[in-house]
Amino acid sequence: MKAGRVIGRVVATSKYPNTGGKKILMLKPMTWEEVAEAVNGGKDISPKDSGKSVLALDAVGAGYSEYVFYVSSKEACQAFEEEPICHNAVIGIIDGVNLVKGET
Amino acid sequence: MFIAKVVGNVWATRKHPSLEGKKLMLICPVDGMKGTRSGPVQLAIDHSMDAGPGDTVLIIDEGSSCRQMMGAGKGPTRTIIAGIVDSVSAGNKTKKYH
Repeated sequence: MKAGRVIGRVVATSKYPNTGGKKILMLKPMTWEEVAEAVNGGKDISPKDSGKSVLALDAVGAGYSEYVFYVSSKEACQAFEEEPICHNAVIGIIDGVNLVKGET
Repeated sequence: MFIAKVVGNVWATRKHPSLEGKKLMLICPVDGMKGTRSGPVQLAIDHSMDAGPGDTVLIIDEGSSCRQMMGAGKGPTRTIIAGIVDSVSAGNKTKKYH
């Protein structure tokens, strides 16, 4: 499961009907080290630089600028009851991260 | 399946119902013999193995096996801790982890 930050939302009225009416969030993928630093140290990475952003269906009601973790491919569809067509799905909002910095 | 080291954990109150009561551990793939990190940090579910930080564990990174381990018909998770490594041997050398 990968981590990211919600930096926006996408509204597309005319799309394949089977996305189950879920919110489409725009996420900025981040490494877990960045999330640990941001969540604990409060160093606010500016959400405006979308860079390589990822779109994900929202399964837990994540809001703007929240740090979330998401899954992709088949696991993303299984996060919902009606298994819509989706590539990524947000399945959790991060409250805290505890990560040991290590040598790579 | 690969060997990884538990390097931290994550707590999240708002999460998918199938993750209730599961520990969310941060793992990093390591080289079995040398113990050095060899990949990006990822999040894995600890369903019933009770692995703590610093443990070297077996990770399964495949959907259907993970669902089978969690006993759930459907589930949005793929990376799960499947065991705790005692020792790794390659060639004539053995590295003990306990």
